[in-house]
Amino acid sequence: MNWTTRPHEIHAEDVVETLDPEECWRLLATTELGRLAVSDDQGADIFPINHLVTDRLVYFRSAPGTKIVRLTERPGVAFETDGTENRQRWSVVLRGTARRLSIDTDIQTSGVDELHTFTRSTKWNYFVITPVTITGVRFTTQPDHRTRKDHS
Amino acid sequence: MDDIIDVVQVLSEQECWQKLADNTLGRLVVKAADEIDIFPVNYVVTDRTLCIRTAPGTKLIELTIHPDVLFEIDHVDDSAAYSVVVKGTAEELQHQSEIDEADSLPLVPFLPTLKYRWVRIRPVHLSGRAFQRAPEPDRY
Repeated sequence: MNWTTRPHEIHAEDVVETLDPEECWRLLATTELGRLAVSDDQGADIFPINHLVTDRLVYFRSAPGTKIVRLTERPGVAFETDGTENRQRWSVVLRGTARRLSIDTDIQTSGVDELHTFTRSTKWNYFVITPVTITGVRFTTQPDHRTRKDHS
Repeated sequence: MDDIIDVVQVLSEQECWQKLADNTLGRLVVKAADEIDIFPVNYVVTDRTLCIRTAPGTKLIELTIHPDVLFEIDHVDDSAAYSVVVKGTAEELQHQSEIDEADSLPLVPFLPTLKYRWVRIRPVHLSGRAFQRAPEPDRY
C-alpha cells in the first residue's frame, strides 16, 4: 500500500475552531446519542447513552444493574458527543459530576423519562450531570492530505 | 416511545473485530489520577491492534501516565444499533520501522492537524452489544 504524499503541516489554529460554551451547549442539544466515561477503583468504563439537555444540565437514564449505577461512588464523569452540521464536523466534551435523581418531580420536569432507549426496563435509574467544564471543536472535513493510490 | 424492541445480542470477539474494521471513528478514554477524559479519534485496525495518531499534547501525556485505556465505537441507524468497547493498553510507537509501517496505514486523523506520534492499542478485552431496531409488532 502506497501513498502519494507525506503529510503537510497544518496548523490547528487555521482549521480547527474552538467553540465557546454557548455554542457547545447548542450543539450538545442537537444530538441524542453520546458516550459517558466513568471510573471506579477497577478502572474506567464507557457507555453509549441517549441524553437530554435542559437548563445546561445533561440528563440520562440507565437500566438497573449497570456500572453506571455505581456513579455515586465516583461521580466524576466525561461525556462526549459529536456530529456534522453544515458539512462541518464538531465534537463537544463535557466534564462534570453525575448524581442520581431520586425525586419524581425532578425526573418529570427534566423530561428524561421521555428519552429514547435501546432496552426496555421498568426500573430506570435517572441521572443528571452537573457540568464543570465544557469544551468543543469544529472543523471542515477536508480530503486527507494523504491520498491513497488504490481504494481497494 | 417504544418503537424499539429490546433484543440485545452479545457480539462474539470475531464480530467485535468486524465492527471495529467497519468503522474509522471511535472514542478514546484515558484516566490520569482521578481525572477521566474522552477524545474522539480516528483509528485503523492492523494485526489485531488499533492504531491512532496523536499530537504531542494532552492525550499522549495522559496515555504515558496511565497506559490502560478504553476505546469505544458505536453505530446507530434505522434498523440496528451496536457498540463495541475495547479494554487495552496503549503504547507510543518508538522504533522507526514500526513508525514507517504505521505511516503506510490508511488513517485519516479526526482533527485535520498534523499528528506526529503513533499510539498502538493492544486489546486485552473486547465486548460488544447489538440491538435490532424495529417497530413493535402489531398487538391486534
